[in-house]
Amino acid sequence: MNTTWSHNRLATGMALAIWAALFWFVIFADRTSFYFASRTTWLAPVGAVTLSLAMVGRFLSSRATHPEPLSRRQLRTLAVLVAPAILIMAVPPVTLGSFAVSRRSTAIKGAYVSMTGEDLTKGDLSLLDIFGLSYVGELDKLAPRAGSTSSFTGFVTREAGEGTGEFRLNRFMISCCPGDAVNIQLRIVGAPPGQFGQDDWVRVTGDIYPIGDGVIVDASQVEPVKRPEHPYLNSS
Amino acid sequence: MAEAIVTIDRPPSHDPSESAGPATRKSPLWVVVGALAAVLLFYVTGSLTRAALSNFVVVFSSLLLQAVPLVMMGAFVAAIIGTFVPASAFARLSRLPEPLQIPAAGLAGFAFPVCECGSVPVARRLVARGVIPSAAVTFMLAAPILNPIVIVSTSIAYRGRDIFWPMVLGRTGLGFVAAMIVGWVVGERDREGFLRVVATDDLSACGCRDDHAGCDCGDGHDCSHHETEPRWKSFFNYFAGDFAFMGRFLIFGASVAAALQTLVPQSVLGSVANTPVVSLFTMMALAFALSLCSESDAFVAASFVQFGVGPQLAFLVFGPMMDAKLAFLYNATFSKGFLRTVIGVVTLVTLLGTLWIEVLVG
Repeated sequence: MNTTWSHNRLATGMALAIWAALFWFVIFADRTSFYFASRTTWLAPVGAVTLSLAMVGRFLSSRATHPEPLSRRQLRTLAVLVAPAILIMAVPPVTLGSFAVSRRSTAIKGAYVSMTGEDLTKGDLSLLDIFGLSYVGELDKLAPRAGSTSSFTGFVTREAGEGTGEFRLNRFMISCCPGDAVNIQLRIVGAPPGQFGQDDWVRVTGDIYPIGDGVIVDASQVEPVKRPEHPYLNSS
Repeated sequence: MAEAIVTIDRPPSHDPSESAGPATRKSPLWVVVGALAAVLLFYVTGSLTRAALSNFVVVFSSLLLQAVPLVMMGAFVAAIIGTFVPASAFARLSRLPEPLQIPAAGLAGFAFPVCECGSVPVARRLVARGVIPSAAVTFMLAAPILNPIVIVSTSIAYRGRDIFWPMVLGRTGLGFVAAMIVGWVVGERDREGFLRVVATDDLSACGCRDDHAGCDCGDGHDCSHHETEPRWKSFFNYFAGDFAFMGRFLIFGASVAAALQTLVPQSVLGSVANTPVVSLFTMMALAFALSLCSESDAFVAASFVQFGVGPQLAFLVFGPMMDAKLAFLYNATFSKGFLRTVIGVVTLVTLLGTLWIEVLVG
């Protein structure tokens, strides 16, 4: 039976190729942490493999006895389909920042519990630990550590009415992707006035004081740092 | 406008999306109009800043990158159903009494862990292969809530809280009931024409314009001339066709969800947290806007501690069945009126169910 190339199938194959390339790009450019949480990282290879498989199959089956033409409308639809993939590859990876803090719920109390049964009265203390204790209403467990020193990394936001030596240290926590991000926030006092602006990433070292349903950090050192390779915290 | 060829008498193995009805031709236009509307909304609200655009890009790209692999997984399963499962298997299923088919389809969600984006192509293919619409729709709506991964993630999100059991059992039970009721309501509809017809020149359509009457379907569909192709070719035609079909609607849905997440601050919700009924509608609207995957939404719901059991449950039951992404996928996949039915019935069942549970829990 005579077969000829189907332009429609070839074009759809190209669209699949661009999408497959996006997922491979995300994996090999080490950008998965910008789009996926640790528990959903497996989606990136699954996307890359399934799209590649579909692409190969589409190309291999592009010769047909009844080849489909490719209309202008189909080309426009393809353009819509591939535009986001090209956009994501083209722009440098951006993360949620101070704008998102103003839009999202802040986890004074939230859903993430990092309680591993560890003794939190000693050792390193993380933002997730503080959040977990806050969540179960057990911040008082930190009372023995009041005045002890810990370090936290996050980005800066400022609120109206705060003193010049104060700011909020923020970090987003994600479950699947940044679409479900929840903000964890600490109040920092005693910081060098006017040195750090909105969205600057900093590492704060200072004495912690659990007060009410939050934690205040009296900073002894605030240093600028690069945005971490894994900018979001993961709930598991 | 391309011709949509009418076919009424088809064997059940054929795709009802090939049957009568106007061709869906507006999707690219919708995308452009939607994008312009989003930009206009940003501009009018004074939110058109670099920070806002960055926020939009982050949310849009992450929702899309998360949803596309899930759609591909669903498309893979759908392609297997379309190519390798004999039509007789579905014909046997269809002979079961309807009252049995609907709960069985709902319970199938336990064994088939797909989330909402993946379940749409599967439901589409099930209907195309002869499964009654009510059973396919029940499965489509129940699977994202009843599947074991979602139950476990809900349990983890609420562990240690006094509302653990109401949330886990309430979500599972109410999701199952809502899916069955929608299935039952949809069951009144005729299978022929239940799926939206695909335009002759749609990307997923073969558009070969040969003399096979009624061949206006997707190129992976069961057109008679495609039956002469090897099975592996049919498989890949289904597989790639579903991506071409669903992809653009997913893009539009993700852009709407990202725009809503960027424009609407969640703090506005706090003011209605203690208002009965209004808080339920608010959380349903939020679930619609956020368009989260059912495997992660419990963590977000649990962070809204200002809301009680009912509103949090409303978020968790409504979201996996109806959100911005799904609205576009449903509208593209199913016939006119389906979207309205799902919104109406799911809203009503969620409202009544969550009110009842709230009263029960106190």
